[in-house]
Amino acid sequence: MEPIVAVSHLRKNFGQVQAVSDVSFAVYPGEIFGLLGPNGAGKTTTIRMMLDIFRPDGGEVTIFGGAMSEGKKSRLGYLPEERGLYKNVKLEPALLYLARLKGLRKAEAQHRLTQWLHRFELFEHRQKKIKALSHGMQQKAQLIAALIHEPDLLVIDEPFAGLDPVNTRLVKEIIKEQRAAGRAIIMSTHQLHQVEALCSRIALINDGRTVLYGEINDIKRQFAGNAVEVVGEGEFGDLEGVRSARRIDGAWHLYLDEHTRPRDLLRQIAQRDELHVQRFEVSYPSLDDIFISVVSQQETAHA
Amino acid sequence: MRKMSLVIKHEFITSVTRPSFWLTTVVFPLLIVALSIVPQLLGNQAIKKKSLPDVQNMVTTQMQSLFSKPSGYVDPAHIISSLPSNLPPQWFIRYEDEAQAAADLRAQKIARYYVVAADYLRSGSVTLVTQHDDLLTRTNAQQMFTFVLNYNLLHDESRAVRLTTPLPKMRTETWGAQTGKEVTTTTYALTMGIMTLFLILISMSSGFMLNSVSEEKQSRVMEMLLLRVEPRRLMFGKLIGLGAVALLQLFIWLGSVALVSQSTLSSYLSALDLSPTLFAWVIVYFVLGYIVYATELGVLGTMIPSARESGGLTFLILLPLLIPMWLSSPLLEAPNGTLSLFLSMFPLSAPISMPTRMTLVQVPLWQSLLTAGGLAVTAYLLVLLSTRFFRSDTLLSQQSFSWQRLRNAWRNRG
Repeated sequence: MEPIVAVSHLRKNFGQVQAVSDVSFAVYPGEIFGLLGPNGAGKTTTIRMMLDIFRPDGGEVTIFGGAMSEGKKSRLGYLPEERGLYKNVKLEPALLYLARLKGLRKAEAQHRLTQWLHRFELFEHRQKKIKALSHGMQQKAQLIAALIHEPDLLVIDEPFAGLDPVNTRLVKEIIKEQRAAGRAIIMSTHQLHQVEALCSRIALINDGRTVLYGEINDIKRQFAGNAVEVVGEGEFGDLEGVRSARRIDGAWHLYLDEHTRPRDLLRQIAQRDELHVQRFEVSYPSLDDIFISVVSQQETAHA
Repeated sequence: MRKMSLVIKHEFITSVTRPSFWLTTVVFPLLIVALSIVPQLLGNQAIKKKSLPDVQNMVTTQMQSLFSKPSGYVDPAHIISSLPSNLPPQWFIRYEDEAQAAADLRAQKIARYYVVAADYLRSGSVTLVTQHDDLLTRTNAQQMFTFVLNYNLLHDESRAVRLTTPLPKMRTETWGAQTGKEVTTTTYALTMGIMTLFLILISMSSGFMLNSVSEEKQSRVMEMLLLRVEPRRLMFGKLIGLGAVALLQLFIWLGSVALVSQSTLSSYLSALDLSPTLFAWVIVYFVLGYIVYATELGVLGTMIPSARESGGLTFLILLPLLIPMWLSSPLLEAPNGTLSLFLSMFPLSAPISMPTRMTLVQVPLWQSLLTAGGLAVTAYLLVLLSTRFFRSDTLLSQQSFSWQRLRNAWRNRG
């Protein structure tokens, strides 16, 4: 399958500051892709280069099978990290203006806007000036601006910031709908549990470089220590090959020595009648753990 | 082109639906009219009520207040036998001796009294006695009593007026210019009013551009816009849309001037050459002046994070428009002089100086055309150069202004 967007060895300097030194990844139709990294890692600059807001100093961006053009920009939806709308303009005309700049005819823009305003419960507020809306309402209004023209590639930077749990759930539903409709979504966020819940693949950028890239499960496997998690009856801590054992919330976390593999342990448990297993699984680290581990390692290396 | 027209429409509608636009559009002309024309009108009408047509040039508004109470005089030299017929007789009371005049002054029945020395014909000595002294009152009192003395010395009212104010008007005719025009107080006030109107109009309408750019930067809507419309088209759209707003404002103001010229103030406006040709030139210079200054202020908008940081730099940019205001006296007194010629033809001061000059004298066509041409070339070059600044990196930057950043943007570097 041809990627919707592919960036290859992107590089960008601002004066003497190197914002991005080597970033590469590709995003495919029908996937939610997580673009992760600590503050100042170069995510926003990468997004801006990908969207042709900034010109890269090096590397290449291929979007919809070629170079960026004005026509292709109408197929992009973008919720930038630095939010903003016209404070002194009413909600409805502001969103209509942004929708029409994306190529929608007036009647079509009005029709779609009405639907979205209802869905985000903003219809009653459409004649209010934007500055009179709450932070969460403004956030939803910006999501409408990113979605209204039904883009093939949606780039959303911190889409859940400022939203309450109800609206967070709504936005998650909408993101999943976009994926189901075959669109590609690039999501940049620090809320890694949302990434685990929504994304299939990620790229982790640190210090201007891609340091991790691929399927989340593969990455987790790659970072998994030699450990298993067991739920059941009996004393699992004295099994052969277990270096240390801890019980957390009724589950045994068993850390194995370098000569013992999880299947060796499972075989031992099966041979001992006093041990009854309800659940046995290889223990994977969370994205949080991986993120912190990678970033800390790099910081230590730099130091 | 479609996107640019959307930007034009957006800028126009957003601006004209703001209450502040209508407030400034209506209040400013009223203020200017109030400051420049009304005092003249009131003063002159007060004089008319007192039926003093012959001394109108001499009896100013200040004189009216000078004689809110009568003045007295003691004349042992017997110079004053009668008062000029057009001077209200209640303005001057004759006293036979100074003690009586002093008593009335003390009782505040009179504002002052004059004592004509017994040897006045030889010494020319007159004493003015008053309870309060200030330069303006003293000067006016002296001028009025001079007129009374002149009348009694010559026994001819017209000659007395001329002797008191021998050169109230001076008509200047310069070879090479078609006509000269008298610069009276009314003309001066009106011309200053028109200059002020133009200064406000051009600086305010150009300021729309600065506000529009910096507002989109400050509210951070710029990043969303840049994914929808090219920076260059955004700039042109703003320039045209806000230019339409400025033209609307100009038409409202010119319409007000035209209305005033039909009203009771028409005689005062007739002191100026407000012909349809002048109106046409005014529009040409205004549009070109708007493009020049709106482009400059638009560039400033790209280099600052918010309009609040523009203060000193805005003044610096608008400085060439202020210079004709500061040099208004030589400009008005010699509209065809070298300074006037330079200010009216130099592109950055022309948008104000040339229309002002045109209200005073008939400017040769070649000068009008050359000035418009110079202004058009300047506008074109500035618009061309401004595209170096209307770029994503400058438009998204939240950094404060620095000459280094300006230099980098000029050299087309991020």
